[in-house]
Amino acid sequence: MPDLAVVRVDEHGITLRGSDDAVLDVLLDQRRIWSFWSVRDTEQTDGGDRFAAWPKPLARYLDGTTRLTVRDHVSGTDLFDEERSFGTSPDRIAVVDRRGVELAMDKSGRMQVTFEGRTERDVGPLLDSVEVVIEALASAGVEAFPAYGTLLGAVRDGALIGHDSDADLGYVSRHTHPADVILESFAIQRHLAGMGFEVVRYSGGGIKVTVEEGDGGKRGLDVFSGYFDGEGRLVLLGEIRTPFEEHWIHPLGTTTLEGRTLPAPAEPDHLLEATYGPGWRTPDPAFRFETPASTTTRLNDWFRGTSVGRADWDRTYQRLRHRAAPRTPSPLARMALRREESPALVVDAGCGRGTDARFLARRGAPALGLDFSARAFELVAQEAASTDLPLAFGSMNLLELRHALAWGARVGATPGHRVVVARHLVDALPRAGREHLWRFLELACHSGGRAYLDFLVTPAAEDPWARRSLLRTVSAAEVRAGIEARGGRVLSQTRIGSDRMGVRTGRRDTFRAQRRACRMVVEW
Amino acid sequence: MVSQANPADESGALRPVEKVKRAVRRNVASGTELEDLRARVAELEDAVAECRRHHHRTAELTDLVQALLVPLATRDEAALQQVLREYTDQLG
Repeated sequence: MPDLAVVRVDEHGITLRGSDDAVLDVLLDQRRIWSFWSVRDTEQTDGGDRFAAWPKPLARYLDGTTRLTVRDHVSGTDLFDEERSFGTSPDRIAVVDRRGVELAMDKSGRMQVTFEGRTERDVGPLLDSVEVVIEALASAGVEAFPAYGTLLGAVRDGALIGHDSDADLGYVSRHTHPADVILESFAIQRHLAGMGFEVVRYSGGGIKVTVEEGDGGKRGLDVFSGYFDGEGRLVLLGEIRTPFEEHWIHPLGTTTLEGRTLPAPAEPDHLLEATYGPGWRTPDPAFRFETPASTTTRLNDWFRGTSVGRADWDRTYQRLRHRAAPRTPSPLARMALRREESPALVVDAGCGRGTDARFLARRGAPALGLDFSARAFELVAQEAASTDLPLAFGSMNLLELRHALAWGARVGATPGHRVVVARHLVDALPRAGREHLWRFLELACHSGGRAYLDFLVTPAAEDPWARRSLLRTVSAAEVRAGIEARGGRVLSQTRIGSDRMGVRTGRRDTFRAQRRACRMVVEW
Repeated sequence: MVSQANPADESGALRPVEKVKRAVRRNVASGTELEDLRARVAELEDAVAECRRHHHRTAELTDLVQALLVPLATRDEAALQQVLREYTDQLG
């Protein structure tokens, strides 16, 4: 048992005395909510004690009364166990989501539905999904196995880890070069999509496969690519690059997870040690990866860079997913419709929730909404599917060149006059994405097609509207140069004021007077 | 008596400590040289990163070209459109 004592628990956090570094669990009404290391995750106070502030995502639930326990994770000894009240609510504190499902803090610092206290019936659908995806990957030619926390739980306890909230899979390719591993991953993605799975790509070696479960709910499983680099090292997205024997992986053996037999590396202990260190057998609900910078840099360079900013957009669309898309189209879409006579196709590039695409289709212009996030336009796409509107949607991630080229070619192959509308897309993309956008436009608008672009030129970072809309400013000169380098001719370039930039009325907006966008009309 | 400041002994030969000091001075780069070396390392790191990043681009281009090559080579317009449709529909 560590030499530690809890000296205070208040609305700010927990104060400890003692210098041992141990994993402590915090329980509210006997349910584990959060775990932390007593030294690593705390700060020294002026009096020489250690202080752990309540993590923000948890603090917002602390309103009411609870029996608060601080427990040494390894020995199970309670260091503190008392009734405590926070805030003003007379109720018991309930750390639950909107549906009333209990949440706890997971390893990434988010409040999630963890496996703790879940019955076999609860986790059954997840295990079914694991088996389904392993089988689908086998049909795509790779032998997958539970990886990371899922493998750790299986090998250590034969069970899912209580403080975990998802299941991960991995496979080790027979290829030895990153480019080949990425190509194989593209082929796997196509294979799975062809089988009807929804697949989202996060990097050249990481995809999320969504499985529809028995109750209609959806679950995403992360699938990580790995390979031997030909120099005695195993590389496995997203944390591992280490000397490794091939026979520690292949031929695969088996492990047992919640009573089910699943494939596993031939000698899984080695992979677990490479992942979690030599102490992997001791449970650590506050575990954090300490991936060497040399590994992260290599993985970034070889495989990553195609989901920059995605987490922010995902969060935005996740928040809005049950809300109907706004009905009012943008002035840019109206302008394009007014100016272009009976276009054969209008593409809303970066369509977001699909408002403009739907508006264009309703006015009789065949419309195609493209966005990296299928979640964003899901509602409008469903609505369109039940009507005879000339409206379709597709996933285009402009951080991947093949997306820009393939969609550009597909749109460009449409006979007749083609128009692309891109409202605040230029200013939502990093530089590499903008380069790909110019290529997309060149292909999509060849032989007389036109593009309508709105993008923010001023002001910069402090503007809350720009921040909320995940935009950064781009200079009109840079945009013009990029477009002209790809053969586009700028027909008009105007500055427009904030009253036409979608700022919600009634909201105090001190940047209104300064904010300006550029509107550009381009022809190829 | 030999002064502490004198680098040589009575016979005129360099004392061992001085020999080491001079050897170190000879082998340690000057401030400017160090800065040059730092700049070169940074440049080499950039170049290595640039090379690594070609893997993703190479894979992307190979993937697309491979998908389109057969219908292009056989001038099969319908197959080409079909490949483009399927290819884009399966992106995500």
